[in-house]
Amino acid sequence: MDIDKILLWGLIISSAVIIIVSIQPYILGTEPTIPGTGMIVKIFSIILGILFVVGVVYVIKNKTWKKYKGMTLFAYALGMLSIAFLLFTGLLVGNYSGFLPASVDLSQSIDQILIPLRTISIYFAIAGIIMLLSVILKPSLRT
Amino acid sequence: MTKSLLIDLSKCTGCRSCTVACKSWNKLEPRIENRNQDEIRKAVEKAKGTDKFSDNEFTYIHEKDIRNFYKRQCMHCDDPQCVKNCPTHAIVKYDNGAVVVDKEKCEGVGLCAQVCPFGVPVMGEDKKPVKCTLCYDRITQNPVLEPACVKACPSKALKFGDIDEMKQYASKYKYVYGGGVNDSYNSSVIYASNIPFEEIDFKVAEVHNIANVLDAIKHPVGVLSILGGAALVGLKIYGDRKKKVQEGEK
Repeated sequence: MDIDKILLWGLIISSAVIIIVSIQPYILGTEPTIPGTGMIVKIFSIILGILFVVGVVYVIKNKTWKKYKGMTLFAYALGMLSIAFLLFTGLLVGNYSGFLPASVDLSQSIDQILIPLRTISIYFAIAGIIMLLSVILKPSLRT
Repeated sequence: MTKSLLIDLSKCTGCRSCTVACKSWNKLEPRIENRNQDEIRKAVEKAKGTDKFSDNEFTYIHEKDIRNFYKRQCMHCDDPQCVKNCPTHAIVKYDNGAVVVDKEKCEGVGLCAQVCPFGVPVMGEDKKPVKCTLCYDRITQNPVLEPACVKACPSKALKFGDIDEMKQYASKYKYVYGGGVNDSYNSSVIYASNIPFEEIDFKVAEVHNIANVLDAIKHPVGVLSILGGAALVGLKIYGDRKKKVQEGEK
């Protein structure tokens, strides 16, 4: 298995963990029942962030994106964008929770859209995982 | 039954009995355990009464000048931004109208303090939000009891009761804010005044429309994105199969 695939699997698994624990509070709008949800999200967000940065640098440096063509490339790009969006909204929420070493005071209009944006990013990440899985897994197509 | 707190600004004298009663009921004395003399002095100074929300002030009298002032506190909104924006669902809007923070569920994210249209919740020393609870513990303990501030008000400027009764009372006044009266903001706290609110430097709600729009579309957009992703994958599989068939035919 090449490094590209390992990184993609890492991204998929980390995102999946974050999505699973976030479904209750963000999508269903109920109190999280999994203990330590906050800590799980923080740890896997760090892992996801590191894998994402390493993945992007690796892909650009080695031009591995060239092996994808047409719809596959489109699916790959959208999948990566959705993970970037998930990381971005995680940073915005983490800005206030003391997760980051320094916090930035954002305008109230941005503060009021943080949680809806996070919810949308979780949905996008689900779609992104589906697309990335289609890039990695090639179902055998009998003719 | 939804209750409402009505603040009759024509009767308020700014005596601050409400703030004292609030501190007494909620035990907002300065913390002195495990503190040295200097820290205790600072804590007592801080708790003396300020013109802003803090660990020791769930409500205060906001003064524009000696004649124009009003009691500032949590509005206990009908559609609270703090409730919607709490990632841990630690803040609840109860049926009786009170919006209360459950400190055990709270993880101290602090978004509630940022999104409140009235700038009410502040993060306390324990890094959890503090604000008026509408004396939730009092009013649920005994339906006859009213919030401590209402009980203490000597000029009867504060009234507590069924929201429809309070709205009816408020409708006699020229200027009303809250309770959804005259299409004003929907909340359990109602201000009634015979002078314009601008004259007392009253802070109205700042709810940004884009937040309401995003909140309304988040689930439909999300579901559509998942369906779109699945459709894209379906198209990709179809394309791959077509290519394979064509290669097989060749």
